[in-house]
Amino acid sequence: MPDIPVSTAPVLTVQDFKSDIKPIWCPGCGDFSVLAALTKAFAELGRPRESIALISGIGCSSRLPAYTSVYGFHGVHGRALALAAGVKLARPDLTVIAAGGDGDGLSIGGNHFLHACRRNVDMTYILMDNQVYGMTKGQASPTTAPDWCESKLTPEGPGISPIAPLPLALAAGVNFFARGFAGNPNELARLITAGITHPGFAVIHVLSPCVTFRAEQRAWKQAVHALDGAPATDPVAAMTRFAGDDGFTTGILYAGSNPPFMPERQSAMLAADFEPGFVVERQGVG
Amino acid sequence: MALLITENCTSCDACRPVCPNEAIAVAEPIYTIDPLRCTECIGAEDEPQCRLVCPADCIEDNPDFRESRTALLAKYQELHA
Amino acid sequence: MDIERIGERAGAAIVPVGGPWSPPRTEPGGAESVSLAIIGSGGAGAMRAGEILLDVAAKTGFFGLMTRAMGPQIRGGEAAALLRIATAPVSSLDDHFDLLIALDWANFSRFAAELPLAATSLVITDQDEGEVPVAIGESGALVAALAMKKLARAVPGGRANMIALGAAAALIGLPAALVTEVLARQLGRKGEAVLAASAGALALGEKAAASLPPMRRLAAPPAAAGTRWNISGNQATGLGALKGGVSFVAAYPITPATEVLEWMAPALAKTGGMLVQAEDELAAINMVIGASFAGAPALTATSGPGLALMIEALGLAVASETPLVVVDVMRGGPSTGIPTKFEQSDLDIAVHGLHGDAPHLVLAPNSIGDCLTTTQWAVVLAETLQTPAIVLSDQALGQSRAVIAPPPPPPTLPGRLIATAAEGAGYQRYALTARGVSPMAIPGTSGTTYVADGLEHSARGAPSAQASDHHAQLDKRARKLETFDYGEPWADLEGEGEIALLTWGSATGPAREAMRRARAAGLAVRLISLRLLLPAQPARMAAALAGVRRLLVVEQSHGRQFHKFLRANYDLPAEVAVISRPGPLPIRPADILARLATWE
Repeated sequence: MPDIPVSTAPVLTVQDFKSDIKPIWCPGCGDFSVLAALTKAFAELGRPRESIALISGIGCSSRLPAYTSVYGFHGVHGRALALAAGVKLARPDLTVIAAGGDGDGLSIGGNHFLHACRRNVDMTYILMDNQVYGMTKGQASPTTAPDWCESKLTPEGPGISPIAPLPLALAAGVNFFARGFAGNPNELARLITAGITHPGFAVIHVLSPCVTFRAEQRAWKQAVHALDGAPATDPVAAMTRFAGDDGFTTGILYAGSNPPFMPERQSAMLAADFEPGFVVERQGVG
Repeated sequence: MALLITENCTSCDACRPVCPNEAIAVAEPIYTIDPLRCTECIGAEDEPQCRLVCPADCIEDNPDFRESRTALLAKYQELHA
Repeated sequence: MDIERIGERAGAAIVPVGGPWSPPRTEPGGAESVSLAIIGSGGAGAMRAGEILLDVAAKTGFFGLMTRAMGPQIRGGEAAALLRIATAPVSSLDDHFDLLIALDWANFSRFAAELPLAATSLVITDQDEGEVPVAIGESGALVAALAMKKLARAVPGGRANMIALGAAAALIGLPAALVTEVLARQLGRKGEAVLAASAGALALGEKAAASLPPMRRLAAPPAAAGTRWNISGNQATGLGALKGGVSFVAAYPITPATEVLEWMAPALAKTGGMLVQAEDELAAINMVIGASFAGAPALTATSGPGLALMIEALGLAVASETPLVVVDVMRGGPSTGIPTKFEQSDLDIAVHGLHGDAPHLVLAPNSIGDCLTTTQWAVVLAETLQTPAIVLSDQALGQSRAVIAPPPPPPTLPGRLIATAAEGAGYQRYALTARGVSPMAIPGTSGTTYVADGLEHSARGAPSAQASDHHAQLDKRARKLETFDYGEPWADLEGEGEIALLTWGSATGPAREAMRRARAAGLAVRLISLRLLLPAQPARMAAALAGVRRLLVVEQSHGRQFHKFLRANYDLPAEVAVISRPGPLPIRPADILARLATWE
């Protein structure tokens, strides 16, 4: 592994963490606030840009890496969490963030979401949930209500109940779960910072309205309400406490203490040291 | 009255380019309008352009800057003299 | 002990099963090579007996090869150890087995076709374990009875497979003392009782051999032949990956590739690397991409169904220019196919499977030892060219063991071209360089942050849908593979003559033996075995085919995948014949010689 020269970074502003590429998002999209909150969190954390890797899948929200100035990987649909785990496991020194939407993360990427919670690699997952597939122009996603009839794919509505990310993550063993609203970027920045600094796998479930296909989500402004009381710290208690969660409770909801997954490495041997094991000792027979 | 961007702003940058007086600036975490340069588009347009394009409808009258039409027109002319 | 004779065979003319080329088997000093099979139901210990026999032969100074014929069942299904012991390195099983020991006949019908016998063969049957199948009788082989199960009961804890082992070693001429010694080391940790039982059964077996009909016995072992290894193809693959510098493996179990991963897990942990088990093949390949992007040479191993799941991510590796290696230990296809048997039917998906114009590397080891060299070469090629490489091994190589000379190392290559912090502000990850390869910044390096992307992109890596960027990046990704000089290892070229055998992968074994037998009998034949399949090497192939009038293509697929691949990429001589047979029956040297004979 090459030894990586890491510079002692000067104090960086929020703008320093943004690239010069203009987002393709629709004006008013909630993801602008997520970009603002994320870059604000990076500035507050004060870690050098080159020590951060932002991994995304496919979808509107997964365009995020190109608009930042950290290392990024814009992967394929649904696999951001697996790719991010590979980055973190190979390079524990890096701060690894995965980002994606409700389709990327809970539909095609659902299996990886379960196992990311279970494996508990020390990385943060920003799940931007707008309850719609925006990039493909308005289909229902796993978090869409069963009676939403605006999608041409399901004109009668999906007809099946949506996935609730919080109970699902808790059941799969997530170690940190916070929920934020794009309309409150300052609080979202604090939640992201908390998720990054919390050891193990941290999910930041962001309610990020889709201004184009779900304009009615502007009402989320009135629906969100802060968690009353401290975050849950025991997984079983959290499951019962949030079983009936309405999906609009914001703040740090659960902060667990599972040790992050990181196989320890020893450098005791070289590849060539394994060859003698295959050598045949010729034995003279009396 | 100058205008004021409220907390619903998503920093989507739709308003900044349309302001005739370049009164809108990128700020953290939401954009801001410089009340000394905002003339509610009086002198340039017949209605405030930023409020027109804002998808989040988060641009309101700035309560601390109540100015008459003539005062706003004078400010506009001074800015563009 | 009564010996049940089926027809008087003593002194019968030796009628080789295969073509006219097998040299007459008169061996005053003993046979250069003896082939035997120990069969029984899964769990009867046929495989263990075979492994010990190969180990003993190796320690005695012989070379050899052992392949496994198994059903999918964990226990109870068919299980056979198929061995060939020889005085010189052998690249494939022989045309038939000289000795077949059946612990039981329960599942014989399932793999009878994989156990060809000849008129000179000896079959040992346990009369308490079922009737001798009709097929055995038809082969003309001599059948002798040995009540292995009953004999084993004479020793407390004794097992029939140890009786069979003792008998086999004695029959083919391996030193009894060594068998006991190897057994002791292998079973040592299982305690004295097990050791005593096995050693006892072994001795009974050896003694019983004296009363069995004589058969071909091995010549004396060759004089000391330098270092020799006893290794399986899957182990060699793991070792080659490690020697290539792999430090991250994401693994998902699948027959017959799991042993590559199981061998690498402890080895990586001790060499500063890491193996992680993933939830599925999609996660495995994407973890590999992440680790490689982060600077760690990375690999995974799978089989046909797994490779199919990984294809999209391989496209991501091509577009983002992220180096990685996927070893595909091929098995009978399509779909679930025959997981425990071999075939060469993943060539199409390996070469054409990726959507879009997605140039990448496809390599294939052509022997058990070559699994090391080719995998190591694939790792350093992938790193040097910043591309995914698919290595097509198969069950016949992976799950077989061989006693071989240590395989040669591949060429040394520069490895990954890493961007330094000095690149600074103007760093262009996907710069349009003359050779196509562009410096790759490793995360953690200041000043060279970039976004790797499956989305088409500009030289800087910014997403772009412009035709100019698309064409430039397509050219770059193709140029870097096509202009590279892969050198001699692209193929094994042996012998000369106007007749050529053109093959790849595990089919090279029988082809190489057929060529050697033909040359020994005075027919000039050359062998061309491709190690590098993609990108094609037209100039090198033209040189290799210079002077060839007749070409025999040898492959193990039903749809002639290799032949079609050759026609798509190369100019072939006027006269081309094809031996293309799907698994699980291996093409035998005699089959190739028989086809060559028709060109006489």
